[in-house]
Amino acid sequence: MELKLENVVKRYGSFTALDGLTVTFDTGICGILGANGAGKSTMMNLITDNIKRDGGSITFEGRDILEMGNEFRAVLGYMPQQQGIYDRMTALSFVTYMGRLKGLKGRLLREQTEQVLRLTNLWDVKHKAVGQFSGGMKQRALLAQALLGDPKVLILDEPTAGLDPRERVRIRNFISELSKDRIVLLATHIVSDIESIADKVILMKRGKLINTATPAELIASLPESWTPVAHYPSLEDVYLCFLGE
Amino acid sequence: MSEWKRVFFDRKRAVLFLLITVLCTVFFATSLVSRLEPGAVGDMIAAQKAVSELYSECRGRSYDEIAEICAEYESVIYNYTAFFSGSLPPEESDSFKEAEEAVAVHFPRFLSLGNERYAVMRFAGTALAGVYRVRDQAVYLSGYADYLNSVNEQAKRVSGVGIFQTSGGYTSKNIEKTAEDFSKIDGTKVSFDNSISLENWLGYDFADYFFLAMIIIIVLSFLDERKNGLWHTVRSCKNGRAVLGFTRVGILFVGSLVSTVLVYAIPLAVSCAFGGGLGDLGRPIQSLESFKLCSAVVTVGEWLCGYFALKVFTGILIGLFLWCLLGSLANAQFSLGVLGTLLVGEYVLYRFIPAQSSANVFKYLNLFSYVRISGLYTDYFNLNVFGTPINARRFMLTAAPVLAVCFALWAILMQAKRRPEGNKDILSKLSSVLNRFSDVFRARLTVGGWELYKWLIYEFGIIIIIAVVAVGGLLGFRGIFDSSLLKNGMYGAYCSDVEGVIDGSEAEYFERARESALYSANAGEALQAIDMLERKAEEIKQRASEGGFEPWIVYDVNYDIYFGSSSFSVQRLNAAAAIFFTVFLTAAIFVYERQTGVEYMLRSLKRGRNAVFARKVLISVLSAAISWAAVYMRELGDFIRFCHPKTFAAPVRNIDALASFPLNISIAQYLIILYAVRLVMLIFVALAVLLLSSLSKNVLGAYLLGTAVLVLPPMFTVLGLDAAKYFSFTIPVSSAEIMWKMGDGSLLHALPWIMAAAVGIAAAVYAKIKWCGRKKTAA
Repeated sequence: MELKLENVVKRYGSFTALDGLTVTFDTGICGILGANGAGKSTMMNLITDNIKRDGGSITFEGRDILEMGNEFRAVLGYMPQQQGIYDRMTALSFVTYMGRLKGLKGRLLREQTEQVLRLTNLWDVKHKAVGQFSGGMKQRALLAQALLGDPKVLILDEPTAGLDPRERVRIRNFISELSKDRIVLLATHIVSDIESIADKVILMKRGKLINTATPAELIASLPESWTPVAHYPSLEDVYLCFLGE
Repeated sequence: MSEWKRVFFDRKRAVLFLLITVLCTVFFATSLVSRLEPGAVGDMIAAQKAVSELYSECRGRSYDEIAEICAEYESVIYNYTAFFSGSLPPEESDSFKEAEEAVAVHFPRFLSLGNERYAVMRFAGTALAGVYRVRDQAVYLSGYADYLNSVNEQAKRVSGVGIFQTSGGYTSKNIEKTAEDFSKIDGTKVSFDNSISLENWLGYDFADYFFLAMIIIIVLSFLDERKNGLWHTVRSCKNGRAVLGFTRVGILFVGSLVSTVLVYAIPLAVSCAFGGGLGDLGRPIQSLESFKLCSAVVTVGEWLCGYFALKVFTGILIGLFLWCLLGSLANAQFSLGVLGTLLVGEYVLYRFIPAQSSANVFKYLNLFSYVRISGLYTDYFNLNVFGTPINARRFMLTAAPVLAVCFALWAILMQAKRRPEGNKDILSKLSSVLNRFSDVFRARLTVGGWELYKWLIYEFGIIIIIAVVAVGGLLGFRGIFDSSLLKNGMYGAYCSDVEGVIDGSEAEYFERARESALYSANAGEALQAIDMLERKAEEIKQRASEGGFEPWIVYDVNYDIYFGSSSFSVQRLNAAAAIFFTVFLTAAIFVYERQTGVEYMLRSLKRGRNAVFARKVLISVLSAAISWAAVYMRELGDFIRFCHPKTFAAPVRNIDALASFPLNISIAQYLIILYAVRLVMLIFVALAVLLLSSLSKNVLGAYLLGTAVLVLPPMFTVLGLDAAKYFSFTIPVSSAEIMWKMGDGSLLHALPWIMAAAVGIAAAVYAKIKWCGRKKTAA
């Protein structure tokens, strides 16, 4: 499986959000690191076909995603950064509704709804209105809907933001398990999440790709002059060294 | 930013206040108009001016003299309009000139209307209604002393009746109390003066509901920090507890004062401007017929001052009560639902418990008693408080300050002491139980079912539908037919009688009718009517043989007053209402996803684009159909009930005005096309609303944009700004005007349909691109 972005350009007026981005995502977790405004969310919105690109191509298995249309969306799971959610729906209703929109029905829908709600620890509060949830619970509800339908491409924008450490580790491990047979794009500011589970990391700055490698390779690439923040150099040092301004 | 500034200078709240003020004033002005159509406002102003002059003329005179003066005004109107409603058209005779000179004194508008029969008759109706009100006021005042005596006598008489004599019983005490209260105003000298402005203003009930809406808006602003997740932050600030509570009580006072000025003082000023002022403020309040049952010793001026002060005070009281109630809920999510339930419950108790019921405490000790505070003065009733009759007005007014102090303390304590976390949340537990059951149903919903559910429940579609059905009931469907056009008062009766196929049997009918007419009192007119009808039958026969359709005698008037030229004004008003309904039913459909922030997530799903768009379009079609049914199915029902049409099978070309209609179809087919086209046109309106909805940022914005673009032009058209019809859907939605005019054979009249269809289809295409296509900017 391969999701390929080639020379992708996106401009907002005179501001260039993505400047000829070329990157290939394979099976496994790809962590995306970059400061605010680096172009992470723009890239995700382009992959989910929510915004119009100004140049380049995005292909999945060799086919342009715009030509694939619904075919591509059928294999896509997307968890957005904003916590936009139907406040008055219960968790069960919300996930069921999203399942319907993913084309699931009948027993399969019921089974998958229960599975993702249990997985995200929301099964016990499934009859509670989502609007009454805390930020972390809303985050889990959004993650639950992204997991429906066994997506081949999973795009997670800040999936662990607002979660307590125990939940974060649980979700992180779960994402790690999921990545065995699918492409997972994981954008986050919590560098330790990526360090422990990402197979590959891409560093983005001002709409451009700075570097792409495994976490270990990136840590090894730190210049000798760099003084680590922790006792041992970590991906956080990589972030500060390459992206810190 | 201070709390004062946050509440009063918030853009959204300011827009809502402005909108409520405008609606309140416009509704009041339209309540003074007999029919909402071009020229009616002018009629109202001219009639009110004449009535004002009538008051000046009557001031200081005896009631008999007033009755005579009113009769003179009346006869002036009748003498003039006789030339328009009778069998003869106005002509340059001496008697007509005399009538003209007479109306020129007090009703000069008649002259400016010239020979427009319809307009003259409409103004005559408005002017006569004004004169009758003055006359009725004089009759009321002349009998007021007798009425007071009768109350005392009745009390004595009833207390002598065996079943009421139980000493110490409530009924007996109530009779004694009533007599005692009314004895206080014994000998009150009611006096005659201009009361029309005050009576019009008092009769305008809607102001109370607009006032309540304003108070609710202010109270909801106190819950903003809870909804926005800022409660913890606000409480952690130095002045975020009791000081904020006191500030908010002050805000309620100013808010209530401002609301009182906006929804009561402005309409009163408008009423005085039209009606010629308030009259003598020193006369007893009982001088107004609305206060016939009032037992308070108070003058009009004192009552007005007291009323405004009371309004401000009750506004604070209502606000404090709602604030305490909603602020006590642990979950801000439920506040709107609880508020709605409370208002509906209280209103049902207020509206439906009879005043004589033993449970009338729930009727009077009710939120709406304070909302409709004037009712405490205009009605007289005693409450049964543990067997003791207590005057409802006195009880409510005494309770008000006590309640206000209690609620104020509660509100301030709540603001100071209530913590954002760890409160008992009974409602959430209850909703969880309800959700458990409703989730069983919701889990089975398809994508279309979900769209319908969201529309009905989350976007308050069900409440809007109820409102649409209720408001639809206020519409009228009949135009005013200018009967003088028939030139003969009996023609209609004969024509209606002989309706049917022209197959020779009508000749027999004419023969029989002639014979019986000879013995009637107005034989001349009857014979003339039969001759006219016979000529009409001949004309139709000839037209039918030339046009190749079956000849029928059809009583055209029925069709004219519902679908023809006599109804064009009514048709436009109803079309405007249908458009208004469609806008409010459809506006939230697209923008709701944007407001909740799920738009991008939905669009990344397999069925989140075309499938959802198609369902949303279907819901819009449904909303158009509901608007259509609320207006036009009522119209059809009214037409069938009122006219008992027997000629649906007749070819439409038998109707004179449709003699050259392009299609050779029956009247039933004509009506089916008319109603079907109206539905299609309303669907185009709904599609245009979809586009506006998809261009808006939130639901309120969609309502405002929809109103500005689609509702205001029809309203301007209805009010007589004819050019506005080119920028609105009024004429295509009405369709009656287009189809009636096509009776001259020209298909050019169909142009508004084509334009409306083009706009609707373009809007749908653009809305699809907006929903299914890509955005230029990020979320």
